[in-house]
Amino acid sequence: MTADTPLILLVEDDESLRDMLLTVLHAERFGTLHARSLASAQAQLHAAAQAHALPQLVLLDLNLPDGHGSELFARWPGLSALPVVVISARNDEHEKIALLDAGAQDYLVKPFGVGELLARIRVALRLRPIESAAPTLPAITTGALEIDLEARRVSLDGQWVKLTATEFNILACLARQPGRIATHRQILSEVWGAAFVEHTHYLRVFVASLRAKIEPVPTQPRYVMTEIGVGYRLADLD
Amino acid sequence: MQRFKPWRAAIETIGIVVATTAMAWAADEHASASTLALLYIAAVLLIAYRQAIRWAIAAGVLAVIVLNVLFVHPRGALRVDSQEHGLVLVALLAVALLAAWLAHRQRTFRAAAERQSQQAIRLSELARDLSALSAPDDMLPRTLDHLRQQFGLAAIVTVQPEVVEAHTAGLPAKPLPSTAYTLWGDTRAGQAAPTLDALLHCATSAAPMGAGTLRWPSLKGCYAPLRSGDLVLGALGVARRHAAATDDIAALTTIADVLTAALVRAQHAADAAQARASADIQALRTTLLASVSHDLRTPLAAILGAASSLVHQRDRLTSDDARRLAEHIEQEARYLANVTDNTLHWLRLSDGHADIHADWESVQDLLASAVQRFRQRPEALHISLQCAPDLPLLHVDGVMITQALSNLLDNALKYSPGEIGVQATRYRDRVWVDVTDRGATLTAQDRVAVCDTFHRLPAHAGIRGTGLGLAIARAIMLAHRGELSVHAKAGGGNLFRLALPIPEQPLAPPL
Repeated sequence: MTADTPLILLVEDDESLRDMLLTVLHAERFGTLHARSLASAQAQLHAAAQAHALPQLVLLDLNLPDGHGSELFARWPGLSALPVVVISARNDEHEKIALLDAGAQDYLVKPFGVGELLARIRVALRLRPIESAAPTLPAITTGALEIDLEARRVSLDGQWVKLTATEFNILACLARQPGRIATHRQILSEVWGAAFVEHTHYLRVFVASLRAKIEPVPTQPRYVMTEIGVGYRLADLD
Repeated sequence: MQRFKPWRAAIETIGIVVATTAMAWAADEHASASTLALLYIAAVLLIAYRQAIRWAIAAGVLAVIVLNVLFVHPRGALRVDSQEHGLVLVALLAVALLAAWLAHRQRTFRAAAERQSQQAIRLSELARDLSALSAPDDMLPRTLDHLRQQFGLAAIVTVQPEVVEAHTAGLPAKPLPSTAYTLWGDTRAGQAAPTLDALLHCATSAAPMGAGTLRWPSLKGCYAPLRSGDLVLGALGVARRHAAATDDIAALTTIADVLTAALVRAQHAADAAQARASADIQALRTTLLASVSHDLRTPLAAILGAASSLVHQRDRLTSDDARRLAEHIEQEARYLANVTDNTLHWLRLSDGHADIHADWESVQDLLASAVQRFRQRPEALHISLQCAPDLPLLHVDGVMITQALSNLLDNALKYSPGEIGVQATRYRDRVWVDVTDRGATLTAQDRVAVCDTFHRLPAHAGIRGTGLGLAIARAIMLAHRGELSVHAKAGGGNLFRLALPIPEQPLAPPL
């Protein structure tokens, strides 16, 4: 496996879905490992760690024959250092949010299209170096929006946009991981502090004022995207 | 009934006797001993009327002694010489005792009657209060209050009927599991309090027991079962209050009957409601199954056809054909995913206890995420979105509201060509989200009918749909104490309105 063909561990018990996903991943030239249970996922990760060839990404189904997908975090603690994309069914809504809060990178709701899957994988893979080693990027550009995290300045179409400190903090929280979802709790905790994780209304108020300043049409946002019931993400427009 | 302290009663008794003696002394020269005895009889009657029986008896005895010593020959000695005087003294004593007894009896009757009428009034109040309540959890504390007023310490135990049946039918002397009963009131407050053991025994044996009954009469409390026919719901227990414990048991049994009747009524009402609800759900499930299975077959047929063509005719298909077939599969599968979502939503909502996870949401977010879902569809370009500035926050389940709004949009896109408008405004204490279309205006009748579950307009027979979308939107609105209404739009077209209540706004964040 060379450095530019990332390795993905797929944990999924349904055979035809697993086969389909592997086909798609191979077509995109990803290297793959796969497991159909928590036990086998744990074994795969253990072996990979021994061989110093950990996967760069884990696609984790929540309902597995020998337990809930979230248990993998406890069974193999190294997992929280890897990008994990949770695959959930519709009724897993709240477990899904709990997993995102716990450190999973993103989620996909069954059924999903290949386009959605690949977009999530790309975002998750790109984030990895940011989190592990490289210093925080000084500036992020998405579409016509430029966010300078060091100078705490934002410009739209080359024009400076004046944001309040809180508005900027929210935007910076999203911008540190463009394309990746940030849950309500994560944003509230980062911007206001751990005591405020239930104050969703703070977020609604400031996201509205932020959108009014950076979105061409605030009711149809291009940059700050709503994931209803889960959180927000900064659109990754190239 | 006046209850003086003993020393006051003694002073009054002695005072009346002394006053009578003074009068007798004054009349002594003009009257015989028998006449003076009448004075003393009057005094004893007065005392019997005013004081407890023991003072009337004491007064009678005292009167006989005083009359004998002071006025009957030989004076100054407790001795009677003439036969006539002896008869007078005996008669005085007899009349005094009789008067005391009669007065006492009359007083006891009056007290009992008073107590009973008070109890009857309180009992009718209890019955009236219980009939106004529907939940056993409200009835039991109310009854407990009543029992405490009347008896001081009281407790109620309610038991699961089936457990009691099993218990009484099976081997004796096995303790009831603690999950089988619920205890209310005072069982540990003091020695006089009813005990849990006795309550449970009373319930499982379904008969009154304790003081005043033939079963365990030596117990300090009285117990009565909550029983209606073969059904045993529990038992009442109180600390014995009155000297005549049979009165206590009678009163307690009456209260038990009143409570039992109320509990049985509540149970029947709950059973009936549940039966109605489950019949409704059953009927709807049947219809849903029919509708969905019909609606699933068509897209499944398209998917199966296209997929099997790709598998079996791969060599003979042009790449354009193959691509078109694959697109069919994708499109139909997305449709199926939407039907599945809606069906699951509907099933959850129709269960009666929908899982609503409400949080603060901005109307802007809700509109944006609903419209976002339609981004891929080419006809979605015709959606125009307007959101009044400074709309208040809503406290809703965002996923559900987005689903409701998506269903309205989906309908509008499906059934009407041209521009679709979405407007959010505030009207009094509601936020209105209006979806307007330029389709054929529905008749007043159709405007009502379209919101019914599985109802589809005949004119739309050619367009695929389950008839669930609006029904779900309406159910979601109801679950949020809002409503879905359909109006004719001025200048043609229809207006579907979601009206949601504006909650008290949370504290604004610090700037």
